[in-house]
Amino acid sequence: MIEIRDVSVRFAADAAPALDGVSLTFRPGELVALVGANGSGKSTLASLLCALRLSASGLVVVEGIDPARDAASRREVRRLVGLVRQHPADQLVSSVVFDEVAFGPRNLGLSRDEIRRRVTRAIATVGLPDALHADLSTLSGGQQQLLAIAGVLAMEPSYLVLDEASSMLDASARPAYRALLDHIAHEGGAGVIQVTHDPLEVLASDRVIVLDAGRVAFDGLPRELLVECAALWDASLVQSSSVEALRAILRLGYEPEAIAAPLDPSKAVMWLLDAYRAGAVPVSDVQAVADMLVPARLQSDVLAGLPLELSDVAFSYGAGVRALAGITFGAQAGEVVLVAGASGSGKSTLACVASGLYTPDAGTARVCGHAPKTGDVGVAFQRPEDQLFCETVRDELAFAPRNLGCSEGEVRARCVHAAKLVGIEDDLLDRYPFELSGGQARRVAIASILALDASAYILDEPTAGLDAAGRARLHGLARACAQAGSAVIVISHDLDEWMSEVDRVVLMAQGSVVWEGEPCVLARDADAFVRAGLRPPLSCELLQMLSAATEGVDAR
Amino acid sequence: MNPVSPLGAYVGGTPAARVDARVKIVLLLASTVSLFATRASWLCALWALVLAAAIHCSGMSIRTHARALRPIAFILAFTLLANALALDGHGDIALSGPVGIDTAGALRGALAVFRIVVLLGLALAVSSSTTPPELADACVALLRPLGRFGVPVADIGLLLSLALRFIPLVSEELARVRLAQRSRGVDFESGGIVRRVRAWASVLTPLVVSLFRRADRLGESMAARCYAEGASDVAAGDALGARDRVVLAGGLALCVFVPLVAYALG
Repeated sequence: MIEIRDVSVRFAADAAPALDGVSLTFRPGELVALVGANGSGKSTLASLLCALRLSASGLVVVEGIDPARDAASRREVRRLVGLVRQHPADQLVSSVVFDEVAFGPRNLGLSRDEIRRRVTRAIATVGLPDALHADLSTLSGGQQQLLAIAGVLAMEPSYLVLDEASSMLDASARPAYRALLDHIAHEGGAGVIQVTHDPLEVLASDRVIVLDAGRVAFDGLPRELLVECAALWDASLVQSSSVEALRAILRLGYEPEAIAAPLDPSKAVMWLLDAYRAGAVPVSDVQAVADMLVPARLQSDVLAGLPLELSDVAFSYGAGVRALAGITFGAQAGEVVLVAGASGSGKSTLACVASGLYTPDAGTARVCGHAPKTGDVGVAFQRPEDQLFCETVRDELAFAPRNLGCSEGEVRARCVHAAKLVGIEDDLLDRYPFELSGGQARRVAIASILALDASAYILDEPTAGLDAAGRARLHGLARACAQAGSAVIVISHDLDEWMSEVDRVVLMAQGSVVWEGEPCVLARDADAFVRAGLRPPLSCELLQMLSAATEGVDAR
Repeated sequence: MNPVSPLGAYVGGTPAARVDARVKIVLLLASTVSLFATRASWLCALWALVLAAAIHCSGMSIRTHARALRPIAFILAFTLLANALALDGHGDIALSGPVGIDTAGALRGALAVFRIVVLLGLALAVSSSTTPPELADACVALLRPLGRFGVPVADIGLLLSLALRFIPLVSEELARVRLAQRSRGVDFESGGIVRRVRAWASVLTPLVVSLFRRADRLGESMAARCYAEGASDVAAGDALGARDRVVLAGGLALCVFVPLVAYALG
């Protein structure tokens, strides 16, 4: 058992406490979700649990051991409680699979045979291919994250702490990740504590803890939080239409088989259909749930003119690696377009060609009728905060317009406009960019691109790694840019998140467009996902189940 | 996909790639000493043969080798000229006035150039037939006896492994940030020195900052996995196979034999 009693942590004497009188217990075999906005103290708590940090006041005891006692106790607690973090790059130490997983066991001083046994077992548990001598560069980002989990499992910990370990995973890799955590907790018997913003991960947990400004705001069953503390759920977790539907079905009287059983929206929909067939639920209720799953049709004012136009564009990286295969694509002023597709489908290359950073091998890219030059299209690449480098936020915003040779008056006007679009307050303008929080830095970085005052913007995975509030802000930001008269293209693998925020969806596969149209049409078109090589988002799967059962009724 | 090597592209599946990395490193060191111990004689031609054999076994093309020589071509040419030219009139072949060619010097210069070319070729043959992790492991295995004298061999090994892991990450990150700054209007290709330095600062500053942050987080992750400096032990490597032993013995014999015979002949 891990016992935390009245723990407080303060990083600076004059700062608000990161943790403020927190008392919690964690048991083996239990899958716990730890949620809360950025800055609510989740990561601080995670680092206390695995003895990377010691509490200034209060008590942390892991299986009877107090890490504050001495170095040996600390080491034992670190062995008992494994930690997996957000980025593979922050935790992988080797470039070979075997050595990576063997790092922890070697530190424990185990025998060679035991190390080999544990490495093989950990790799099998996470479901990676049995290629022990493979180079890490041959693994995808998702596989590298699984490898990081294997590296911790090989130390055979009693507890596993995952600090937003899934936030960089593709939507398609998440179901397997959830199943893995379920297996580690319920079959492996380890206590699993996952810090997350993903509502489906919370539903799959046995227990959920909400932190708010360093205090425990909720500690109980996921369904209690979902139904009885709906406002707290909505404020703490990323919005999801599948979860809305689940909540509605619970209110219609759905009871999972056991009070503590994990909640599964698919099972809830099956219950609804059974109840409907048995005559216990009227068709209007089924229809109402189905409507929740269809993205609303947005009434955007699409302006005349096509600021961004690609026709028959082909592009290859060196010999043989064809990224774009004759793609034709356009974006109108005033609309937000989602470009989705599996990894390697050419989405990011599309951004580089459309903005003139790459010259196409064949075909033409045009922005407002001419070949794109620097500044015509603003591109926010993934994790744009990595490109901040100035002394102040103000200089950061002014950097791009100054490069384009704008007058100081013009530079100032553009900075004010960009800051207003993303909601940067005046007091932030003189701050040092490297001191900002994750969400703030992301917004500053995007504002520094909006200062280009371009006719089209491309945002590549703009919400990756952000909390619920940060995401909602960026959804609003994309819309605001479109309303200001630009074409906005969002590149993302997370259809569930963006489908209700965009006017149009473009699905890509193998460097070409395989489907395009309105989100509400896509939601009912299972074939489109097959062609794009994508697993349909959960909301679309649920919608299909419901439509299949009620189609006959509609016809009558 | 081949693993990225900082030393050149890795070519797998060749006879040289199947030889244990420890053997290759020992032979490279031995041949370095032997090459410089070989006096100028026709036996030097044997080294050219060794190089040709190494290139052949590592499956590399002559062109790749020639390309690797390009950066040092200037130094090689300078070495040759500095040795061959006599400016004080003592040259054997007078060119004009006091300037002439000293044949003994030319021979000395040619031998020096020859040695460097052979050495570079052999090193390239090793690096192209060995993956970076194999090289790192082999270095650590060879250094292992020094552990007894307090050398932190395990930490050196980890350092090598981390360096190998970070090189591709850093180059990827560099390309990413550079692309991002280009889209913000940074021009890397034109302008004077000051302008270019400023352009690169916009890439290197965030790169270095993120590297330091990453190093911090990586250090924490390592501590969480019970890493303690100097505490871990280096596992002994596997024993050498029969083929590796034959290659090692043959190679070492050659390294002893060539300089001795050259000495006897001279």
